[in-house]
Amino acid sequence: MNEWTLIEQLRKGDETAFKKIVEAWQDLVYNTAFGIVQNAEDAEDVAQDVFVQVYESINTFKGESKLSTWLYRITISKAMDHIRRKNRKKRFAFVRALFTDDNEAVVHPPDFNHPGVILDNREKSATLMKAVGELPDNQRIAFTLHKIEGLSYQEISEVMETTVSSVESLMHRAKTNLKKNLENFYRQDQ
Amino acid sequence: MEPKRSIPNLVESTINSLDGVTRASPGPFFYTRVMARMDAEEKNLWEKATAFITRPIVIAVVICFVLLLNVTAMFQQNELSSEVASEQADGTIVDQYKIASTSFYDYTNAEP
Repeated sequence: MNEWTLIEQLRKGDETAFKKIVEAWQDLVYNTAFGIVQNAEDAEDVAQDVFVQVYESINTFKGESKLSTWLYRITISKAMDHIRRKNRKKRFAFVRALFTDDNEAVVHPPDFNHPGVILDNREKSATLMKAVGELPDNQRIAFTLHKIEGLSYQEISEVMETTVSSVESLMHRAKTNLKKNLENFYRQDQ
Repeated sequence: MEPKRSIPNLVESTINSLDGVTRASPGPFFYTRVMARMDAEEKNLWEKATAFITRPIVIAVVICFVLLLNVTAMFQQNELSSEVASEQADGTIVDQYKIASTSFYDYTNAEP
């Protein structure tokens, strides 16, 4: 069954169509969310949120882009919101910890542990993703879509609603910043 | 023991450490959890309102609005008090130089 038939059926409130959409695109959404929020629990949370939004706002999907492009956009937006919310909580917890003896208030996130990364590269990928987390939002999104989801620059430009040359520039800047951050990291480590 | 690698090599291999990564999948019964989430999603209005009010941009706008109100009120108060002061000053001049308007009644009923 093609995606347009599924969309039409979902618009009519068909839950079977929704189930098929979730099953067909859950890996795309979860993996993208994982790349951005960098831990399994949060990625699951974001992925659920994305499909709830898909169910509620399928009527606003005009079909100007592919369904997968629309899903990427929703996932990125939800994942970035999740990070901002978490950072706000972290700041609040930090301030609270300054004024109280509650040391448990400051939560340190676990290392990036993507199940799809080969075992030999686990440690390095965790170091890399820590550095990716410090990039500006646009560079972070472009890098994650390219490296974690394997999207081409053309596909990334469609998701981010920009030109291919902008994506190239974002990727170039992301790599330069990453190199700088990683060099500092390894120098301190030695 | 693995020999120490140069930093540029380490950086390069770290950046390439995600090459060949395969997609991660959510745990089993993901659809069931989405449906459960949708059932529980009946967020009450207060929760949404609180989330909106606690957004930093909303707080900043409210603070600016209150400050603006205060400044406006302060200027209006100043203008009002200067008007009252000038009115009072006018009153004293009238009293001192007796230039108040007199009517026919004042002439005819002049007291000794």
